[in-house]
Amino acid sequence: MPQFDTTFFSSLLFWSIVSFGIMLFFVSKFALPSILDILDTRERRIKDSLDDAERKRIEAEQRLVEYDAKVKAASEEAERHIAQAQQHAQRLHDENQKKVEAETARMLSQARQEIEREQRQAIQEVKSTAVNLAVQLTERVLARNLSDEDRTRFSDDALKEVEAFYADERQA
Amino acid sequence: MARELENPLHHFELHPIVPLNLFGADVSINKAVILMWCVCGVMMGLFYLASRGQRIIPTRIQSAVEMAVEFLRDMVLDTMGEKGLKLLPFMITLFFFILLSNLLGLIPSSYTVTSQVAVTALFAITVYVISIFVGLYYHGFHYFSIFSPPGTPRWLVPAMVPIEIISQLARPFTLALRLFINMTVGHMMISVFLGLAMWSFFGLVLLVPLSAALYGLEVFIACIQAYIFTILACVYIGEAIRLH
Repeated sequence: MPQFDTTFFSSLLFWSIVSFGIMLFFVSKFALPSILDILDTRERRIKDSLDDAERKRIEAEQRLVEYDAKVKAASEEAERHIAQAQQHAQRLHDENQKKVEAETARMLSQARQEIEREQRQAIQEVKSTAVNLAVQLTERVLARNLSDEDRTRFSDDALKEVEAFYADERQA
Repeated sequence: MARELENPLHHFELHPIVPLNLFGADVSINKAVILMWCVCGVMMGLFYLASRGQRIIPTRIQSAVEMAVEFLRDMVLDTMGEKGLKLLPFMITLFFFILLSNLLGLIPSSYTVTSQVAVTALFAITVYVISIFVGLYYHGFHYFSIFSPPGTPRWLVPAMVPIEIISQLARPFTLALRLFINMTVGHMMISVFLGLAMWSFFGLVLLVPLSAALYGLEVFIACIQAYIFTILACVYIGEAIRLH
């Protein structure tokens, strides 16, 4: 086999040692430190990133728990406020209802009283008008002035007739 | 018309291209030496591209080289432990030198440096010598207790020691021969198949695809052999560090 020909052994060994030696020097002094440095830097960065991510995840979880608690507290507070507002509104409603009813009753009563007073006044006016008319009519019929005694008697009679008339009207 | 089949070993013959002499020794430049320089050039280029700019987000070449470096670092740590990291540059150089020698040798008309037994023997002997020095460095003369494994009955020691010595001495031989034979045989088979294919149309149809498949297998073997050589070097030196 040509590989066992010792003619080139010295040449191959010499150049192998030289080539390998140069490569070993290059790798150990330049290439490997640089590559290991990159790998270490990358590993450190990845580790830092993972640690940072883990820290942020824990922080986020804590904040989520805090927010949940706050939301729950706010929700309870809101419900309490709503309940209070509803109670307050109900109370106001009841009070207003009572006030309105009382006012209505008062106004109704006042109106009734007013109506009765007006009615009485009207009746009184009608009565006096009727008396006056009756007296004037009687004076004309008799063509003379009546004495105070006659006037009183006529007016009383007229009043009785008018009252009787109104009584009949009411019954009708 | 008789055609002569080309000698498959012809590919491995060397001829001086530039005759040189150094202190009486022939150091002439031949095809294998030029391929060695090519290996060095490619290796330097790869490492230069991988370490240029120290990019945190790697390029494809940088990723490939970094993966190989990390793979080798893990291999060194697994087989030799933390103490073995001092030898990481040697292991990386050894792996890439053998790998690129194997792969560049697959380029048609080039030469496989690792098909030269002198080269593989040099690497194997270097590994073996390093393992002895490492053993002596960490354990002193107690290192020679590797010839008598722990638990060996006292009466068996006279038999065990010669066996262990042979086993130890066989290591550089097997290491050198495994790589040399694998590289040589692979190229010979491709050469023979392609030579036979030229003889007939039938051979052309049958053997050219077979040679192409074999070529793919050779690429795989080139990588595997570099890995085997390196891991065995790590194991041998690791044994010297741990002793048993």
